[in-house]
Amino acid sequence: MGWNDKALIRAGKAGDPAVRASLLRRLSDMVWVCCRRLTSDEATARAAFNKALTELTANDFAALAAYDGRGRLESFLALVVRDVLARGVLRNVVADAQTGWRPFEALFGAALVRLIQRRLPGPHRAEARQDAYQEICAGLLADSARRLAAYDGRGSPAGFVLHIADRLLLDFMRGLHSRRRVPAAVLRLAPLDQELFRLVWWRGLTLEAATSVLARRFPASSEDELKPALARLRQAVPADYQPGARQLALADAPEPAAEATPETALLAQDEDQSLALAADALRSLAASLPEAEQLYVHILLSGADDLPAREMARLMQQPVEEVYRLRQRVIKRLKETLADNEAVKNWLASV
Amino acid sequence: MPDDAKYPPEAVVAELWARLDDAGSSESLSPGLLAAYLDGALDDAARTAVMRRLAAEPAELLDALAGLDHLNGLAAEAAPRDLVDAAIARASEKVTALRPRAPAPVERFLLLAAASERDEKAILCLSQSGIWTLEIFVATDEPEKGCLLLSVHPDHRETYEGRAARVFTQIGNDERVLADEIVRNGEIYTPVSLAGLDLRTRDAISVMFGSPP
Repeated sequence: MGWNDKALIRAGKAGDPAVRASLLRRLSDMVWVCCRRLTSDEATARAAFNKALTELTANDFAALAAYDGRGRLESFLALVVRDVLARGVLRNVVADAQTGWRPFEALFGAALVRLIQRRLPGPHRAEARQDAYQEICAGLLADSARRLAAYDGRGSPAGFVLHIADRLLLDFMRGLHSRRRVPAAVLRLAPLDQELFRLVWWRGLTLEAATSVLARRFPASSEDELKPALARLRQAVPADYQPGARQLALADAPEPAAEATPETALLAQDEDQSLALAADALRSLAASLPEAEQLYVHILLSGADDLPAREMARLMQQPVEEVYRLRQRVIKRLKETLADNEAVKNWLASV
Repeated sequence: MPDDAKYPPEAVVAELWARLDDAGSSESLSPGLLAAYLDGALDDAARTAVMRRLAAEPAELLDALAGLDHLNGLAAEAAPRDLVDAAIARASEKVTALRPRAPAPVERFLLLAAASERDEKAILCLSQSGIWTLEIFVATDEPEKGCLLLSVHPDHRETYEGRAARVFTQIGNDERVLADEIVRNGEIYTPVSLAGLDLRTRDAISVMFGSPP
């Protein structure tokens, strides 16, 4: 019960050792469960548990002062511990990508996979999802993890990382990197060599950073195997190699990059204008809706509209049956508002 | 017919999402507020405010989605005993010595049913000051009879030794005395009648202390 836990926390702060012990026992199971879920093995979970409890108990349980009795202590603890551990792995991967990457991926990997799954669903997108995951990891590590280093400690570290990952995913979906030319000699090399080529020549990663990114897709690869691969690539890539023109589209099969022409430039401009108009219309529509419907519009745009019904109901804090009715209302308004917009017709037909 | 190659739905919705991400806020939802929201524990105004934030800030919505997934993915498991014991030992090293204090005239007690490690026939309460523990053990075969154990933190034993302690509940305008004893060795242990009482949900317990002997 909320108020009992609040009283226990208050009493624990007062200093009675017996009450502190009770409080620690109360916290321990949930802290442990979170640490097990967010780390890769038991040994790491044990270290994470000690770290998390140290932070929770610091300054007379100052971290628990924010629990005001609303909601379950377990839920509060689960999200606080997630933030504590996330800050730690974020700090470590920025300090040393080589040793910090595995714990970072253990904590964030599942969330990144789900982010990608929402944007690129379906069995026919499996290869694209793998490519996207690799692109996101490469982007996070690029330039000595410059993007991650920008976290200033404010706000949820998970939200920060996922927002960056989302942006990198959008870049991938815009095809900024998937349509570059791969030299013919590189295409004759093994898949591992080709992936290393993309990471080093296109993303600018060091061999150490590329090793970390490739570990997931090629678990048997190590820096010792990649050094000969790098040597093979240096022989295969022409001295005057240029990546080639970029193109706006989403595709799985490799195709030669199209040369930029006045026609393709005009098409891209039309597309951009249509999307800008659609975005403006959506913004105005969302502003006119009640909060629950506004939230649903953004859930739809985030790609998370396929959440199971009960999870959607919890996210929106609406009864399950109301979520269904709300969805119908929102889709109807969207179709009415954007009926004439060329850019969104396909999307509206699919929802 | 719409040109699928030109406007694939996944790419379009991602573009629209990116174009609506133009608000940057230095504020963010605290984990406590997000947890309370997902537990359905906020009032209407607070809940609406959170919804508005989730709709306005993509990072917050992504965090909430990940948080929801995290909460759903937690499996029940007990923490290793050695880790818990070590944490308790570390915490007790950090407790600073309590200063002598003047005794409060009346101590009020809060029910700690969630923290009790005893079986459900026991009631565990903690005083609001944090220095008194009150336990009531209900007789297994006679639910209207029990034993009361009132004990003080060892650091405060000297202050209360020998004082009279009246343990009572307030029911309307009436005071119902459960025990009226002298504190010996930092505690009172006495049989009590629980007839007509609802200590778990209604009747709050208070203790008034007399002057030093």
